[in-house]
Amino acid sequence: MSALNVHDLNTLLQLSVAFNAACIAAFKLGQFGKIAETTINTNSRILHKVSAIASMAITGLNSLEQVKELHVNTAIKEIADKYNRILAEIEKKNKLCESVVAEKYTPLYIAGLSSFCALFGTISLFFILFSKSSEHLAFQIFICLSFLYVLLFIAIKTYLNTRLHKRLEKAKGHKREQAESKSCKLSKLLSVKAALISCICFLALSILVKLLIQKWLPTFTVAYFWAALIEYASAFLSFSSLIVYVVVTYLYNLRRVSFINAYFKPMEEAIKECKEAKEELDTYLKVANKLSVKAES
Amino acid sequence: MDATLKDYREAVEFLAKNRVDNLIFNAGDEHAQIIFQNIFKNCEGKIRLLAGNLQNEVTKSAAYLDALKGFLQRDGSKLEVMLDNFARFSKQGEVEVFKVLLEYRDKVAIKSTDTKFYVTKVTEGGAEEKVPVHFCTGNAMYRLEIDTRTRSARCNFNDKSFVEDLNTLFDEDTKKGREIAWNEVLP
Repeated sequence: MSALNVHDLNTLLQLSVAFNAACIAAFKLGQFGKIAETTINTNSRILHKVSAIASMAITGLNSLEQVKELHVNTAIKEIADKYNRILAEIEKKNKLCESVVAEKYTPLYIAGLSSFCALFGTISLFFILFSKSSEHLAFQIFICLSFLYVLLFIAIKTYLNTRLHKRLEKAKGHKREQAESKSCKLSKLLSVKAALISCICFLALSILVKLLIQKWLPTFTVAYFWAALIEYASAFLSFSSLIVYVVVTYLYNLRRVSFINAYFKPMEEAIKECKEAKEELDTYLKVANKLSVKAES
Repeated sequence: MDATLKDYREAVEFLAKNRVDNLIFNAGDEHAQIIFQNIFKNCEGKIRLLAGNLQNEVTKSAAYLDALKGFLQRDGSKLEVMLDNFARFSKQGEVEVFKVLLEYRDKVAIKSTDTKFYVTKVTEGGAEEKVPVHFCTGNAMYRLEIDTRTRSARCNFNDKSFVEDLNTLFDEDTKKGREIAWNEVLP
């Protein structure tokens, strides 16, 4: 290690960046799994409402057979067509929901990856604590710091997210709807904020390590080189991680937006349309009833 | 009781208790019982009942009879019954409902009528046909039976204007109706 060349240095940096990127990606994908789960729970509630409306629609359709005998006109057929279309839409959405439920289990693989990263960090920490070889010290510190950086990032992001959710919980009615619509944007901003804070903390930690090495290992002449390397690497790592993070976040948000577009919006429209059709049918039948009853001696 | 019927009962109870203006559909004896039970349970004042001869699966059921008793026991309750098919009444048939009515004879009036209440059926060919109906009204609640064989009906627990229309038809005909003596319906 003392004969460190440019090739070794590059390998070291690439390994660290890959490690960091893997941790962040694992974290983000794990987070998606959590959101998918929440989404599925919300879907269940929506589906419950939809099935109630659908059952009303079916009752309405059954009654159409009776009404047809009383008053046959195009209005009834139009309403029946509308109902059929909505029911088909609901059925399609049900299938999509089933596929999302299957997707819920994907984060299990991600959890495996996260565990691997955690194990990797722990082993590094173990080496730092028990290794007698000063030659490996810098490399081990470097790896450990990467691990700490990810932990720091997760902790800060979790804290910021918790704070956001508490605010959301406090908001009520219309304000809550507004807050929820903003939460998607805020979530992205919070992630960037967390990444920046993590970078700053990480840099500060790197400088501290450098100073400690300078103070306690003055005889170890190579330490200055290592300290410089750590400083450089940490900056590089933070920067590259941020890029990786932004890319992952972007892809993740794209996935989430497409999910919302594919599921929630058409579902909401279907529910709205179904309710309107039900009201229309009720009004029609009411009028039909009112006009029809007569008495004859 | 199966789950569907339980759900139906809960839904009807909710609509009746909260006087919700919502059109509901009804077919079969069990569903008819549920609607009648809720009309009897939630109505105050007068109930008008246009029926065939009150000898059927619904009127002989314990649930129907209990609900009817519950209504008649309340202060201020009154029941006007008009039978449009009394000619087919038989003392040898089910007369339980008349025994209940006899208990509250001060609150009950039973008449027979020759008038036929109907809705106009327009067939797909465009021809008009008169379909006999039966109904029950109370406060703003009604159950209009448009197929006396399958007990297909539509109901609403808060449709004041439609109930008023039915009541007007009923009251006009009551004047012409023949009062039925108790000895005509009970052995």
